[in-house]
Amino acid sequence: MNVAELHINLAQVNFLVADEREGGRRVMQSILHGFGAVFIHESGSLQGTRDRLALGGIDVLICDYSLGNGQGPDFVRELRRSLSHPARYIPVLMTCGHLTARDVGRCRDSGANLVLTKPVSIQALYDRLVAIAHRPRPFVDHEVYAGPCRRFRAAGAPNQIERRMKNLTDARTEFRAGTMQAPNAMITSIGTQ
Amino acid sequence: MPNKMTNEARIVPTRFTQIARQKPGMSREEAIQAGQSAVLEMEPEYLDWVDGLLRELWSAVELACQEDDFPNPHGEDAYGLSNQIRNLGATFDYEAVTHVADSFCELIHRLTEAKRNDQHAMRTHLNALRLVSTPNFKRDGGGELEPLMNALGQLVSHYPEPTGSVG
Repeated sequence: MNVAELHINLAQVNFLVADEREGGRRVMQSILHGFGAVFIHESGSLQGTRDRLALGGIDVLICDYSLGNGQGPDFVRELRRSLSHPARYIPVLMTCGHLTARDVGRCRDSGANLVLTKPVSIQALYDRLVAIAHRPRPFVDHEVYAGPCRRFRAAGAPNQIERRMKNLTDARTEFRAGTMQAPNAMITSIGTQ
Repeated sequence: MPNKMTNEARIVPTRFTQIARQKPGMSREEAIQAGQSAVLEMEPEYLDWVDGLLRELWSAVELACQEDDFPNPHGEDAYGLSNQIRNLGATFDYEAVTHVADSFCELIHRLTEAKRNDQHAMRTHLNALRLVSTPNFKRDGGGELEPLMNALGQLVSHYPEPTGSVG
């Protein structure tokens, strides 16, 4: 079944929206309310987010990249590696603004389930939540990476992710054929998996 | 739940996947429409935020332009403020705000990498941002956005794209 045909019920879900910008938190909160969510907690700091998650009871974390002066990805990485943390396995959506290529790599390797580029598209947010609910990915526990498997089934990811995966596949083919000008570490690691 | 690293991959059930699939849920159309309505109600608040952020950005740009060295802390402030403005625009249907602010972020990113200060390019971006933040430029800004973005693009392209930049 297509992701667009699936429904979600957010009435009992506890969200934690972690964003240092009040505007970012308010927008996310309003959209989630519109989707039917009732329990929306918020945090405006890295330490506040850490403290709230440690209390337990949060079902989904929506974490901004810039939290703690750009430490959002490091924080998620730390969460995924904390073996006894109550929130270790919860879905994490990372939001981000203007990014460099290095930043994109940090998001991807942090252990977040999906990344959502700002400005937030209401449709994209809904489809990502549906994808996380209905197409859970295996959790990888490895010394170099802990988090949801970074390889998607074609039917399991929102359209933008599918397109990105196609780009990566094309890049890998070029790399293997020796036609790529500047292979990078990310593509090498995918090629060897 | 597993409590040690196992070097393997497995599905770990979470409370979210269990409760979010419960019925009845809203249809996708209903949920998205409700989300859009909620955002629409916030538009006056959005315009106030942008107004405040633009004032702060104006100060940061003026201070950044007074310094010979780049990057400087005021330039970093300008990047952060421009990024905040960028991140809100299109959600409220102000696509032009997001485009211009994105160009401003890219300009500061390139100036930082090139260790150059360019008062003209920064002030031009600031003025463009003030222009497109008005309700006249809501949505795509009509036919005026394209020439504006072309002009801003030329200012940005004076500086090489850093190796780590997302194209």
